[in-house]
Amino acid sequence: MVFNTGAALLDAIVLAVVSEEKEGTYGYKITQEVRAVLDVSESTLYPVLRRLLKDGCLEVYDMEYGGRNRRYYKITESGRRQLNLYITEWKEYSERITSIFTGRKKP
Amino acid sequence: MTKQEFLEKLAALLQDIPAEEREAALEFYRGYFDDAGEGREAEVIRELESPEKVAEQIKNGLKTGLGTDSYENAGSPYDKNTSSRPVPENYGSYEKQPKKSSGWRTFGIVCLVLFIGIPIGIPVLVTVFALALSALVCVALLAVSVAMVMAAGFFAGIVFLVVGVARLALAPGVALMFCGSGFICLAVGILLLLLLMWVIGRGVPACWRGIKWLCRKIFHRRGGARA
Repeated sequence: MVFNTGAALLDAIVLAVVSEEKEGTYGYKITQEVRAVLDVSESTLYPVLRRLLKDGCLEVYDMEYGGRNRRYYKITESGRRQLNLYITEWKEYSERITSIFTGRKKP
Repeated sequence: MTKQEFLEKLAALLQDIPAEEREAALEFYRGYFDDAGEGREAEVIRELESPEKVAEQIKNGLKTGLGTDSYENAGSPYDKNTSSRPVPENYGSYEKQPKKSSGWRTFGIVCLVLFIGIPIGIPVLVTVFALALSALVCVALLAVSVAMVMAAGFFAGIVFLVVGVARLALAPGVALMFCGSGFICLAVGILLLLLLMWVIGRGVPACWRGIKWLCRKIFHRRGGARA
C-alpha cells in the first residue's frame, strides 16, 4: 500500500464494515475485515473503535458465546449519518483525484 | 511470549492511563485472543507485533480526538522511499547555490573559532582550571588545619584531665576546674573531628568531581570541533 490512510478514512471504513452486519460484529472480526481492505496494523483498530464508541457512532452490547461474554459493536443512527457523509465526501474526493490522473496530457 | 505474558505486559504499560480505559482495552484484547481461536496465540502476537506497539496505539488514540493524523500502513514503501526521492534543489540552476552558502558558513565558523574561540577560550579555560584546583587545595588545607586544631584539642584535653585528676586529692577546686577544661577541650576536639570527616568525605570528592566534569566538558568540545 502506497498511500497512508487518514484517521477519517479509517473511521469511515470501520463504520462501513460494522454497518454491514445488522446485528453488529465483534472486535476480532472487524479487524480481519478491515485488514482485508486496508493494509493497516492490527493494533490500530482498537483506538478507532473506542473513539467511534465515544462519539456515539457505535454502540456495544455483550452476548454469550462459547462460555464467555463477547462484546459486539453495532452502528447507531448517528453513526449511519456519519458514514453517509463520509461516503459522499469520498465519492467526490476520489472522483477529483481520478480525473486528474486520467485527464493528464501525455508529455 | 504467551498470551498471558502479552496481556500482563500490556497491563503494565497502561498503568499511566485511567483505569476505565485500561480495563476496556485489556478486555478488548482478551476477547481478541479468544476470538482468534484456540492455538493461534503466537500468530496473534505476531500480528499485534508487541505489547509496546499496542500500548502506544492506545495512548495515541487517547490523546487525539477525531484528528487528522494518519495511520501508517504496514510496510508502506512510500515512507521508506522518501529519503531516496529526488529533492527539487538538485535540479538545474538551483544546484550551485546550496554549495556556496554552506562554504561561507564553514569559513565563518572557522574564523570565529580562530579569532575568538582560541584567544579568549584558552585563557578562560586555564583560569577556570586554576580556580578549580585552588578550590581543591583550599579545602585540603582547611582539612589539615582543622585536623591540627582537633589534635591540639584532644591533647590539651587529655593533659588537663590528667593534671586535674592528679591534683584532685590536694586541691579539689582547682582540680575540678582543670578537669572541666579538659572535657571542654575534648568536646571541641570531637566536634572538629566530625567537621574534618565531613570535609574529607564530601568536600574533597566534590571538588575532585568538579574538576573531572570540567575535563570531560573540555574534551567533549575539543572532540566535537575536530569532528
